[in-house]
Amino acid sequence: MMQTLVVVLIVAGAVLYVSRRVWQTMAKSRRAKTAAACGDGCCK
Amino acid sequence: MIGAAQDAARGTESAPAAHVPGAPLRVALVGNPNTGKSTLFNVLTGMRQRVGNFAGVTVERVESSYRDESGHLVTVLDLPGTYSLDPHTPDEAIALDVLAGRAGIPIPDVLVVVADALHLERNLYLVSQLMELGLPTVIALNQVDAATKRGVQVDVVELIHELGVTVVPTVATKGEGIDRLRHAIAKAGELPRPMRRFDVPAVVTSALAPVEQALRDDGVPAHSAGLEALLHLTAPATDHGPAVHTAIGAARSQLMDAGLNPESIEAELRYGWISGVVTRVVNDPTARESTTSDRVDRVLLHKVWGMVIFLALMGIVFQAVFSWATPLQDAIEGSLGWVGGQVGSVLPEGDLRSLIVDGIIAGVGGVLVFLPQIAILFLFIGILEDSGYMARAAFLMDRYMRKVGLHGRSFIPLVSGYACAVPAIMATRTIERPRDRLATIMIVPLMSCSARLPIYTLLIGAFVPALHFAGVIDLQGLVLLGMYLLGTIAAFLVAFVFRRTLLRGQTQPLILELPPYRIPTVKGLAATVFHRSGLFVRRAGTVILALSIVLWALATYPRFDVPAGTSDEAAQELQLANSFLGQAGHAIEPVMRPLGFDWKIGVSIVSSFAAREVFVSSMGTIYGVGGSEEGTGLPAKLRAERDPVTGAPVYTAATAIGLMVFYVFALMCMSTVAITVREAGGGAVGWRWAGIQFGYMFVLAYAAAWLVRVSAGTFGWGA
Repeated sequence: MMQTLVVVLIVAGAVLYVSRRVWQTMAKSRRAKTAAACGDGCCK
Repeated sequence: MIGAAQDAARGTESAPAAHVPGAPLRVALVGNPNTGKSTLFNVLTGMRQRVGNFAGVTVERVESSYRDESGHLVTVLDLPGTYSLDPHTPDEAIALDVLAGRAGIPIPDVLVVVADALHLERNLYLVSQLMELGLPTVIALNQVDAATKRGVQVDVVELIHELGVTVVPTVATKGEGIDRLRHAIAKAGELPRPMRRFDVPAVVTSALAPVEQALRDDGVPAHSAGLEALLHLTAPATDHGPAVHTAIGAARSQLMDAGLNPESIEAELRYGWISGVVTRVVNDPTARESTTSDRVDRVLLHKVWGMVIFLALMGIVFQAVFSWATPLQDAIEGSLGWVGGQVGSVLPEGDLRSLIVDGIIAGVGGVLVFLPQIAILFLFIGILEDSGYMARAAFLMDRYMRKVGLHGRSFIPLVSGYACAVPAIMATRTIERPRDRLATIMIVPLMSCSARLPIYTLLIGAFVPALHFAGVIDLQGLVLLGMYLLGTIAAFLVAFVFRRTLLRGQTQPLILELPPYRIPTVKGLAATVFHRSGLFVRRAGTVILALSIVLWALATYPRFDVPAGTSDEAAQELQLANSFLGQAGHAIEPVMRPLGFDWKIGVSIVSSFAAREVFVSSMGTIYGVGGSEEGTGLPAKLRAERDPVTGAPVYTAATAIGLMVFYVFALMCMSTVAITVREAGGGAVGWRWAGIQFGYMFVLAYAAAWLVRVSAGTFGWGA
């Protein structure tokens, strides 16, 4: 029973960590500081 | 555009503002590319910012701090290199935004201009412009040891007299002159502000007077109007009103009527002054002599011999990655096996033991085994970068890059891509034109990054025989080199297609400064290897660890009722096949089957979108939970894997090559997608380019892996 509880906690922690990492990575894409690639309208 | 900086610096039009007592002193490191700004930044602040012996290493502003001799906090900004205050590339624009107070941070209290003692003439151009900002300025005359070694002597006292600012000789790589530099930074605010040091001819002054007046009327402070007026003769005044544009047009006409070229006036005036300064300050008896560097360049840049040497060097690197790493890899594998055995014997049978042994040790350990290869690869990359060879390689490759429509400056981002696509895509900021930059962003992920190395070495080690030719050439090393070359050649071909379809445009010639040859320092190389190895271990201990745990859970649950009388091995296979992971794997298996990949490879590929190394840890976890041949390494487990129906080996040399080729082309990296979105413009536009990138790479990967399988079946190789 104790083993199962420990396993559940570890797996839950890992799931939370992975979710957070995915969220942070996607947040990077939103921080567009230099939109240099669009300067000459090539990608409009 | 510069006015804001001066205005804030001086408070009023003529009275410079002093640094607020008690507040941290803000120091900006500025200078030409490859003068040692980041090295100086690291020495001043104790940071480990990336450095390299080529231009364009720093593409973002980086900030850190130290306490000076009086205990005051000094904040140092390391800015990307720039040749002038007329920005041409996004990374140069970052430097100017900071100096002009447009970057959302206060204008620096002190400028430390890092000038290369060997190339003082070129460096003084930017120095002369920066002095007109009127900010307290200190010149760090860096690399004086290299100048002395070449017989070049700089009269520092005379230089101080000529510039009117403090000059401190430094050797940043050895930490020499740093205490004096810190002292000069602390005292810079107490000294007279720098100013323009050359006279402007009357005809130019009278032509520019209306421009200066228009700029002042448009809100530019009087003391910076002169500098701005000169800059606007060549750079467009996009941030000013129509009156300024009209005045600039009139001034250009007036100058042309007087027989002058408005485009070159600023350069002529500054270089005229610089020429006099250099004559009085620099004693260079070797100026016209052919140096050792020139003689070496004649061989290394030769269009035939240069390429032969380049390919030979690459061959040596990949041979070494295999042959040198093996003993260390065996030692790590043995240690992990021992740890797994110990944990297995201490913990009672159950899920916790399975999680630690089959999930964590098999997953994370399976990736950590490749640490020696990563360290050796970055040791060689460090040697090539620090010695100055990398910039030569850029010159060699420029001929081929131009043929496919790539800008010469694409080379450094492409080489950086061998380490990681994320900083490599950011390094494209050194490319001036948006289409050139975007074309490079689109192909950078085709360069095999270090995260692919564990996948290649796992599969090559398991399925490519360790044959030797001529006693020195190793087949495994050759196959590894082949994977890197495949990605590189594909990158060039894809660039060719982009430049003739979505990103049409003229290719600009490469103007790249060749850095001096230097013997790499042990300290510098050790820092590079430790930094890169540390990043690899950190990834193994964070994201790969977490994903190994999640994958273990998916491979272990739900529990499956195994029929009585089933053997242990068959029971474990049944459990795995009916787990969440097994069910998901079987769902995607039809997509993977044409490539010869089973469901285990399929789920490992999908999970590796988080980070490519996760492919190896997933396989480690799946085969750990599957439980075949306890105690043996992953390569042995893969070799022993049999199809439950036919009994034929699941993995053959053809499967391994197909899988490696898939990873050469596939964009299995979430972080790269995110950074492409951002650097390609962000928002819908960024997502569109990231979608194009992901899509074309997936199609290439799928088609190439399928071709490998079909050709293996047709010609009967790799069975």
